[in-house]
Amino acid sequence: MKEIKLKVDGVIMKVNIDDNEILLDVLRNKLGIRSVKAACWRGECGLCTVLLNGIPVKSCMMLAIEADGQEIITAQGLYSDERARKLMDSFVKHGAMQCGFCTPAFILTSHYILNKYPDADDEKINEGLKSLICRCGTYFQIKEAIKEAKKYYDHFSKS
Amino acid sequence: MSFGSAYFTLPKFKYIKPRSVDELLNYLSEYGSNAKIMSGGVGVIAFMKERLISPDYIISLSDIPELKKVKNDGETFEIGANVHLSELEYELVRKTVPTLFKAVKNIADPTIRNMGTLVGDLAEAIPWADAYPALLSLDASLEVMKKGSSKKVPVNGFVEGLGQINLKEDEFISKIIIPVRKMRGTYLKFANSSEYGLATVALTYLYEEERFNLVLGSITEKPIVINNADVNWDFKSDLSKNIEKLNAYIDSNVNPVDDLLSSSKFRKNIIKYLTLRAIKEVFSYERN
Amino acid sequence: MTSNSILGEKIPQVDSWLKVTGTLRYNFDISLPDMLFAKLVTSKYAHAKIKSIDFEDALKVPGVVAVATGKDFPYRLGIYVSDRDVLAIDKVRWVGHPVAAVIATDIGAAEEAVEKVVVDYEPLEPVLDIEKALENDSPLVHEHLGEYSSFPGFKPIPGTNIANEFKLIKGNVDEGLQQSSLIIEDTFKMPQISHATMEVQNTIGYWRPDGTVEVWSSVQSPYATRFLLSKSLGMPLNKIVVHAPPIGGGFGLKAGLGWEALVALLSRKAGNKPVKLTLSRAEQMIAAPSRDLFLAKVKAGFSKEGKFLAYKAEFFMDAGAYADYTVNVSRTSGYSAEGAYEIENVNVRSLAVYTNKIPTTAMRGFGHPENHWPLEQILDRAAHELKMDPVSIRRINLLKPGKSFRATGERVREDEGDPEGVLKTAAELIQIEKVEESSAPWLVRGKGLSMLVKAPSQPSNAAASAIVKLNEDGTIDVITGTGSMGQGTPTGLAMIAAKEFGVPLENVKVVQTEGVDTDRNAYTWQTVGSRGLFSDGIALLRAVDDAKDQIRTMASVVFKVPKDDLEISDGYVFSKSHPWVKKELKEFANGYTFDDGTCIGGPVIGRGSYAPVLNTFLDENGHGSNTVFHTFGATAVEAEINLITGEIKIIKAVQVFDIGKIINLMGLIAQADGGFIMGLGSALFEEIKFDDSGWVLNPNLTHYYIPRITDINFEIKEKFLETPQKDGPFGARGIGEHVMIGVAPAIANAVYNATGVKINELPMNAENIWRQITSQKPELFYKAFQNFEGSLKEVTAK
Repeated sequence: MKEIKLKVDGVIMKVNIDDNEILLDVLRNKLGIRSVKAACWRGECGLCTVLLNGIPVKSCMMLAIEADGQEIITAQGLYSDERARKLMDSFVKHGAMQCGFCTPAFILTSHYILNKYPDADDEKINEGLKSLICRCGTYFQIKEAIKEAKKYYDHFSKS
Repeated sequence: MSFGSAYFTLPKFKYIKPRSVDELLNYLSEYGSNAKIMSGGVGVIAFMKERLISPDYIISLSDIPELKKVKNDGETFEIGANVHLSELEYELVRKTVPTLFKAVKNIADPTIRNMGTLVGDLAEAIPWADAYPALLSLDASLEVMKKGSSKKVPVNGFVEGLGQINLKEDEFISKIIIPVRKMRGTYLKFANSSEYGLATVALTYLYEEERFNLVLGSITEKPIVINNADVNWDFKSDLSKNIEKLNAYIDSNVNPVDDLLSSSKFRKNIIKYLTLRAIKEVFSYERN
Repeated sequence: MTSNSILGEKIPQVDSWLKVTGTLRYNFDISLPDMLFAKLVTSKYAHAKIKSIDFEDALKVPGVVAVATGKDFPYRLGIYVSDRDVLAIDKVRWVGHPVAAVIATDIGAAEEAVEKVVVDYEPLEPVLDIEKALENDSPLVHEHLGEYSSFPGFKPIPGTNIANEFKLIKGNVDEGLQQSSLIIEDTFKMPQISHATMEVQNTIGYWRPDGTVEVWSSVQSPYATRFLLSKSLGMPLNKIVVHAPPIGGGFGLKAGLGWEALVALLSRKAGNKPVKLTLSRAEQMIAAPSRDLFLAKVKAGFSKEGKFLAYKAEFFMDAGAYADYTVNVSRTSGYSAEGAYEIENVNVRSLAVYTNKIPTTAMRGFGHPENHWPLEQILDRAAHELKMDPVSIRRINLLKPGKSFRATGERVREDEGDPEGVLKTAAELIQIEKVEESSAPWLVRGKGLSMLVKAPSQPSNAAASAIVKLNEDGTIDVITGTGSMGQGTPTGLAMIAAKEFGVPLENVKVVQTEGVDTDRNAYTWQTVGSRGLFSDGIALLRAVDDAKDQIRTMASVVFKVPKDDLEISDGYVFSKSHPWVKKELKEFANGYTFDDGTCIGGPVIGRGSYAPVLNTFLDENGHGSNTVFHTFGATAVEAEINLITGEIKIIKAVQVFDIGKIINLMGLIAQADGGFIMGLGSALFEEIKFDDSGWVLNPNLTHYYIPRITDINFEIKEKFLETPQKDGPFGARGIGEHVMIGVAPAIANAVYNATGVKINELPMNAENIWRQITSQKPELFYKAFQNFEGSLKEVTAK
């Protein structure tokens, strides 16, 4: 067992882990962060996405120990980000979810895309969200929600 | 090879994180046969989850700054072993090594590209992977290091077959080296009911040298490299005549395999289609 | 005083904010104190005798509590036919069949231990092909079929691999075929596919020391699960509690009984501690059920004028190793084989057949994606032969509400919908007559359309109930039994209650939004078959009436006016004749208290229940009356086909349904669009691939490809007709499954109309389409390739 330190959604957490533990499992099972989902455990579906130092990664394909000392943001943590909350609001208003199991991953990844490209066009949105699967097929609504939310990211990035 | 993992957890191993290449080489010489190097980790973790490998030691590259470098001095374009694929997705790369840029865009998905590395994609040695064909078309080399020595070897021949690479237990690839020349290039991938391509084409055209490498990937265990000399390509003559020669060459020399992704016959059709598309794209550059 | 109707508006799901923040609690997220973890040992053979199982070494792994094998659990499970075991007993029936389970204090220990369980098999000849399974000398998947119990109307045939045979007979099909001037005969096929719900199946079982079995599970139908558990384990219903948190996708996979019996028994075996089983994706795709493989041999006769005179069909459903649910899928595809059409002579034989492959179960559409796949293509082929257009041939054969009878003998209700209007609307939206130019000479554009119709396939007594409570502040609690899996039923029910009481939507809580619990929720048969909003909706309206009646009874005393002069809306009860005489509803919540402190009545709790009316079993000819509503729809597409590669690109999609009454437009559009995308996956990509020994080759989401956002580059239009059904809630009908039924045939018709190439098999992936083009119309391929090569001529190297 080794002690690692993670900053998760703004809170510094210490946790004892074995070398072979997966970041996803440590987040969900040891730190109790259940907004991070999983559905394939091999990097395909993207539902375990978290922002690692601001960049999306699939936490099922990463050793927890490799995240030692780094910052992790989950969808639940994004709720306190003003822009992200507008994005969430846009998802809600456009009905961009059905069963909701993939929604946190779509929120995180969309937030990253809009941060990076506030004027993201269809191609950027598509390419950026290719990492994720929504089995309910809510893609049309997700695209609309992101387009609607662009203005908030644009506004914030200029101010 | 297995295609699905029943397991959530990884087998037990000891994680080692060297701070320098020297330290890394020491570990390798000591633990070599029982160790696996982890750069992005995507492949190694997948293989461990499937219990295809079960190393005693995982040696991480994540804390060795010099392996995170991308260098372009006008002579060579060098990509360190721990450069994430997404770090290759920018304009300079597109201009310098377009074939590679486009191949990288085709690897997995953008989130995986934030984690995985080019060396990793190459070293997994999956016949459907994208890095190897692109690097072959670019005449790339690898810097292979082991304790006390370092050598530069051509990428051609590095992958020997499914999961088989030409690398000794105490060696590791520190970087990929691509000669910088005036080139145009493209990378095309055709996927069907799979995330992997059933056929890929990497085409790099060195227009000043009047020379090209066409690499057909995903259709056989190892990619097939065809250069202009192989097909007696005549840069002075009409394109359609050259294409005839190329098609004839493919007809008689390229024998794709049947596997999970596709039949041999369909692959042959698609590889010709992709080849023509690649030629159209690369050779009609001036018009765009 | 009038109340603005919320019905028909676009209302976000009531749990949206929990979903966007990832805080909705799925079963996947639940852990209990002292919880143990289970892992399955699965069969490496498709068909083999189990000679011995040695788990000595597994028990030595630190953390391992127990190992269970089939012999520990001599129970039979199943919904319509009890053909399933808990863990394999004596023999295994497919690669992936669970033979043992390890229980440990952590999943890592369980995973280490399963590798140490040694099973000694004696391989038997496997049955991997559905047609071979029907041959007389085929090995039997189940030797003791005769001993299995079954639901009325289902009969496995002992000594064969036939799990059920259903027949639908109307008129004389051979005569009908003789009278036909055009006969279309062909064989159609669909592969096994995976529901691929994002939340994998996962279940916690807790056999409590007091003898109560408590289960937390990702299930669609907690009451059915409880009933089946009770039946299988021989336990009284009130000793079983099923908790069903919101589900991360169901699509039929999580209907009926899943892993609940196993984990409950494992809990008992492991010292009565809670045990959780979570499948990995590979286990989900190998050890758990999929949708059936479907084979149809059909012969259809038409008059010169295009009248559908005769339909003779044999349906073979490859049920895999267990058909507990699929016998009903097969029966359903049989009795609804005529689709949206009135056919004079019908003879359908529909068989569910056992093989040594993954077991199968219900999936969205339940037999209808299957039977519409041949039917809707036959119509386009007949139209082509008869020089008609796809719309007219359909129009003249459509069922006529109020006039037609189905082949089952069931009357087509006058208020069943407007099939002709649906057809016309879809044809107009896709502009079916208009020929579109392709963007290159090796590409061709085509349009295709499919009608569709479906009713819930449910027992004649599939009931529902609802409870409505008025809280002290005037807010409303609604309790029914339909689970929440993204389909939006809780939101629809909330809207109905809000409208009926005239209160804002946020004043209504639908309790099961965050999970159904058989101890606390009202009964509903199952969350399946597009029945939720219809059945629970009716029950809810009755509960609302009951609650209102209680309020009016009290108000009549308070206001000193007759009860029938009282009305409730906008959160008030008031006198119709003296509208200024009114009080807020909240004043009656716990009975009415007068100024002097005296009180009348008591807490307002409305109850409502619903059961289908006049439904019967079907007889030996498939005759009877077994539906509560049918929803008609049409799916149409414009597609571009690459004649060189076989790629199909969707340009435009159209979804039209007559849903009676729009309750929540946002949910409706989400279903129409999402269902199209799911249908697109099964049409173009999805197929569970097996090797010669029955191994699944693609148990993952890389090689089992599900549509991603990059595949959705087309325009979609939805249109909803509203022909109200008198007994539906506000006239509404269900929609949840219909949205994917027509997708595959519409695309196949687009390919046919563009190229003349007939597509009999799914998926229509590039290679399969290329193979059909090159074998049926090689000239199209060669010409396309030439054109493509020609396009290179202008290119000059510099």
